[in-house]
Amino acid sequence: MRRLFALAAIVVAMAALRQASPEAVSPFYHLPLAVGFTLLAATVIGDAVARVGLPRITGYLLFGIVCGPSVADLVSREMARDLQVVNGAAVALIGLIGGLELRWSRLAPRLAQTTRFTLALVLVLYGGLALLLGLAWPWLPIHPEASPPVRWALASLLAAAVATFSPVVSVAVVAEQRARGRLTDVVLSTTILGDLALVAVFSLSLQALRWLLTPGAAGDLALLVEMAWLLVGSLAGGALVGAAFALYVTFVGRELTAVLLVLSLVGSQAARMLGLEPIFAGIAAGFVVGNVARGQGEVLRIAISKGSLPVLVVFFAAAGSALDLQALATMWPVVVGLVAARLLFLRLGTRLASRAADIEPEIAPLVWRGLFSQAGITLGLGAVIASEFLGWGTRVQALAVALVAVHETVGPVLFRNALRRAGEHAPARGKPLIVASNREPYVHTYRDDGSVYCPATAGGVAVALDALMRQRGGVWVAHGAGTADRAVVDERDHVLVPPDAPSYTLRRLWIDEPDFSRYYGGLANEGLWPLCHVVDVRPIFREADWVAYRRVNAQFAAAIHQEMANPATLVFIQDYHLALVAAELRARRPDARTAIFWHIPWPSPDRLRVCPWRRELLLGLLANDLVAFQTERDRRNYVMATLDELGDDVSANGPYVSLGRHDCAVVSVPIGIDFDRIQDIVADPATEVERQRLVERFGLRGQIVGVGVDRLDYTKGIPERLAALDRLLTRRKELRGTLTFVQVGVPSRSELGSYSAIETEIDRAVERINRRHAVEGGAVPVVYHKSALPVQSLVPLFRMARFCVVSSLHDGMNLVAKEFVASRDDLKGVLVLSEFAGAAQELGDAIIVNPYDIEGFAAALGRAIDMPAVDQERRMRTMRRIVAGRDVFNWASDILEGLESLGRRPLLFPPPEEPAAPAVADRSIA
Amino acid sequence: MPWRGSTAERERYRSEDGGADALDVFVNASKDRFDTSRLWRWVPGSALLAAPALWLVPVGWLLGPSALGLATPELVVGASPLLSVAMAALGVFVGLGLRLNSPGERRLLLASTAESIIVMGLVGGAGAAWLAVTGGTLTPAIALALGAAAIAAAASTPSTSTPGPTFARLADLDDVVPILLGALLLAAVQEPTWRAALFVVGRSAALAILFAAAGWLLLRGSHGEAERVTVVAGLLLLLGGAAQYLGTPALLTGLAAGALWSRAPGEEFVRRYMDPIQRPVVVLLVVAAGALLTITTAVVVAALVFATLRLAGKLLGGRVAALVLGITARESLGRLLVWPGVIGMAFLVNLAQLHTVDPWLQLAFGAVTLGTVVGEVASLWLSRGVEDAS
Repeated sequence: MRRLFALAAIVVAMAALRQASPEAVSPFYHLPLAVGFTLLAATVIGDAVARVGLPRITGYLLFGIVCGPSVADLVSREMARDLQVVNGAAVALIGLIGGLELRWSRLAPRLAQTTRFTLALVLVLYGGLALLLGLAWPWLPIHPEASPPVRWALASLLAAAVATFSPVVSVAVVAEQRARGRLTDVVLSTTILGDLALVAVFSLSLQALRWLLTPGAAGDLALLVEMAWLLVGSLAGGALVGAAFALYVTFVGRELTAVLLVLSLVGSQAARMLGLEPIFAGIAAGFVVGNVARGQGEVLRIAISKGSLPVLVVFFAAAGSALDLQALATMWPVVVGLVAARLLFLRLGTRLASRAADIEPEIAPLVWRGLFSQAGITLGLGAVIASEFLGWGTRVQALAVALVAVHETVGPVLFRNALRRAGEHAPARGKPLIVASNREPYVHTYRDDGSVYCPATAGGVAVALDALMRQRGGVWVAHGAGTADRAVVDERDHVLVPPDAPSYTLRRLWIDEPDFSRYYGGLANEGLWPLCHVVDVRPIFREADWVAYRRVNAQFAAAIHQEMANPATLVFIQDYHLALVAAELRARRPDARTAIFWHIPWPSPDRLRVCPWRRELLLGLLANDLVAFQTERDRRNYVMATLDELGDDVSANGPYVSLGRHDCAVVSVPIGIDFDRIQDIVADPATEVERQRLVERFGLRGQIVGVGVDRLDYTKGIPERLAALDRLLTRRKELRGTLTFVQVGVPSRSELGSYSAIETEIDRAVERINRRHAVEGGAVPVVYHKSALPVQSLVPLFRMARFCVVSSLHDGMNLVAKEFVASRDDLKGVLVLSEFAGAAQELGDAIIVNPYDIEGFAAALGRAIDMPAVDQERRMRTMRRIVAGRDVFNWASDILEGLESLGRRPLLFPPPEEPAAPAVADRSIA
Repeated sequence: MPWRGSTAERERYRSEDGGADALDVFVNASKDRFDTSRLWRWVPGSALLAAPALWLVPVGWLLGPSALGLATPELVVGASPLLSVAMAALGVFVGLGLRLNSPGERRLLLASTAESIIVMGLVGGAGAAWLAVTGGTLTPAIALALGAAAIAAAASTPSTSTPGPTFARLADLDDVVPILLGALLLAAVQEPTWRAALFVVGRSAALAILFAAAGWLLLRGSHGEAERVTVVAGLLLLLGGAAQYLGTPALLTGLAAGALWSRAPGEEFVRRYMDPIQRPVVVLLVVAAGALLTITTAVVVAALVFATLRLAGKLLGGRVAALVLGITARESLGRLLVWPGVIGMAFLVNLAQLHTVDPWLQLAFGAVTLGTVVGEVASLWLSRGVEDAS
């Protein structure tokens, strides 16, 4: 409804604007208005059309037809003309997208088969149409009086034009549907090769016709040269531009958006001036970029495809506004006949060609649907005939326009339908998804009275992934740790969650002791956690822990395998507990498509060397199709470690690390928070009530408030933070009694020695500060709340704070920093952020501190307290923009869309060996 | 504390270039590959490259009809729609900065208004006097005044220097009055009565607000990044296109839309998706200005006079603004405010396109474009050693 209101407002404003009659002072004067109106209105209509199961591009076309000069005239004739300029660039960009899709490694083994298929199809389609047109020529309202030889030449010429396909529409549908697969490949390559063949046939027919009509022109090969130039020149020119762009991407790689846009705009105009075809040039350029700068090409393809929406909107809306409905109205009987004939020979041709070329039976009956569309090339050939043969030539051109009106409208619907049937489209809700994590999103627990309750797991990532799963559905595989977990699952260990609105399946996994303690408490938290966090805590590596870790990872893999009913299922693995799951899964399901997000830092290669099983860990991660880290530094560390440790077996190319024939994309995708959810909490009247409650509870009455929220972990730098606070209160005695620092500390892994030690240290530090700096009747220096607070309490607490401290000694990201920023829509408050937290890479407008430098840290706290409001607002505004712009849904969709769209190859990853027998020796770093 | 901002930091200070390139961010460009900034280090006086007009205007001029002729007059004129969009984007940024939450902020608006009125009065007054003598129309004088008032807008505060906050906010706010006044005065010149002029300006602002409200609804209901990018791009094009269609400055439509969004929840979305769009457009804008520039003796003289008057106006205006704000380092603030903004040049480019036959306006355009280059040189020199002004 909101979108319809928006559409109505835009249409009303546009209609009001059109009342003015401006004086056009330059060409393209109407361009921004036309493109802006088209982008907004056509997007809404495309969305509405998608809701009834049609392709969005049909909606864009519809917009162009309805709002164009033929009907409502909101897009005037001048605007429609101006849109054609953008259209040229759009065609080049669509071609580029199509070219980037074409992988030589994928096409080469089937090149002979594709060529055979295309030639057979063209022969049947063109031959059938030519025969039919030749026989029916006397009754066609084109040039009925032509002599028999001329008639057959004309029939050949017209058949070549009528038979052509539309690479632009095919690529556009593929881009919109984010389609991948065999049908997609066959359709794309056939439209390109087929059109090349048909343009060649057209040229020969035209030459023959010239010879027949004007015998003196027999030796004039200008047209043949022209057509050869159009084909070969377009491909060669595009390839040259592509090579230059590939070099630019590889060696410079900056300002890519601007360079790409200028290249498309200037390139398309230059192509027209040189008599080249922008779509062929674009495809050739994309093909070269995608296959020469392979790593960057893949990332570019994903990026351009993600940004292809405006291009598609403008292209199809412009095409719709340029469609000549008049031509269709006057020539409809011939048009209907030709459409029917083309359809007949297309179906016959694909059937025969499929047999001739051994096309897979699953896709063979669907190929014709992808080849039905027609657009620019048909129009172009029609225009050539019109310019060559004045009089009846214009009737052919009108016929071409009318044919395109039908084929361009119906074609996308048919192709989308075919992609759906072949299972190659990315549906709106995405492919089936399995999330795997150690921790479960909902824990069923017995109360004292024996009843069961089911709280959601706290923590930003769990909340975020839960939101994603609610939206998308699927299965979440996790360790069942609740006391009542076993009681509520069915015989397949399934339970629907969330309890209040079941929307996805939680598959619980039972990990028995001592395996759980060894896998989780042992290897994961005493080994990998300190290994990855540079905090001078020795990692402990025990053989028994490693064996248990492998066993549990294998257990996860087996559970995922059981849940993978659909081969297209995506598997999204979480964190360092499950580093070997992909390798184990790959042994069972070589076609599995997996991504892992490593939430914590990745150590430098030297640091990693202390781990006895580093090669196994590296290989385990490499078994994924995509490995994502929080920061570029972590990504780089991982890539360097694979090159160091795995030697000649691996190679790195752009974002890819290749092992044998398996490519793994290694990327950095910083995690975000659910920004909108926090805005909802901010706007909730209950937040004010909660604020009052916190004021009472913590005794916060008008003083300066600082806040820190952490798990009680040695990586969080809490003792350093308290030391800095101590130093600040020692230096600035006027703050005593007027400053309260609220430290929320959530005990965690207390059974481990290193954790209980840090808890004790913090307890003592708080006690010492309160003893030293307390003032009679003044505010307590440190309020220590040693348990978790729900986000509904954290938000008002953050909003009360003058400053928030995140002082991690090493941290993957730290979502508290982002939650603080998200809570401050009043633009007040200062974030004091450790330079060793991943969040510091994004939130440069925080006060960045080194928590080891206590003097500097204390000074930073002082700066935060004294910072003028205008400075606070400026910094907070910038940080909010960053946090809002990259929320947790962007994070998840970046990873999942990246995973979905990665190029596929047969995966020949070596299956992991069976776990060895447990050994007893501990391996701690000396 | 002395100003210790490096060239790179000064670059960070300026928001008119927009944010990082969208594709660069996506592909993690140049993190581990060839860094083009190395090239700049080889160029003598590379500090000057922090000023975009200083090198992009000459680049445009070299490409343009006056030099190599690669950018033909038709091509340059054909780029005018992009200029409108660039100005709409800049206007939106100014509008987004209009969120005045405190008395201190309102005082900043007052100070910036006083500062820009002084500059406009000085430059516009001198221009009007000159045109009265030579028999030109009033429009070039208005254009000169508006071109002089703009300051390079600043979006982020450098962490190692402190003149930032006040300067940055002033730079955001001091464009408001010139934009409003400029739109009104230009309409008054074009329309027969003040009432008609007010109607023209009001109609443009109302349509912009309608587009902005619709865009806001779309943005809040959009699914995914691609759709948000599409909506923001469409909005900027609509705002720029509507202004061009109606013959009013796109800065005004952008300002109206930005002001509306600054009050709407989640303005961060707009900013986030605007940044990548803005940068390439601004580069094109400055290059186009260079390409349109015809350097004659009259233009050079006018540019030097313009730059001198603007400099004097900014120093004086800076003192007055410092007085209003109670800042002791009055001279420092004025010296920071000297930095010329792309907005002024953009405004003149657009105006020169609307009135191609007015030779006085073409002269004013040349004076402001070349004067901006001179102003950037002056401000590079003046901003050295500026004391803390906040």
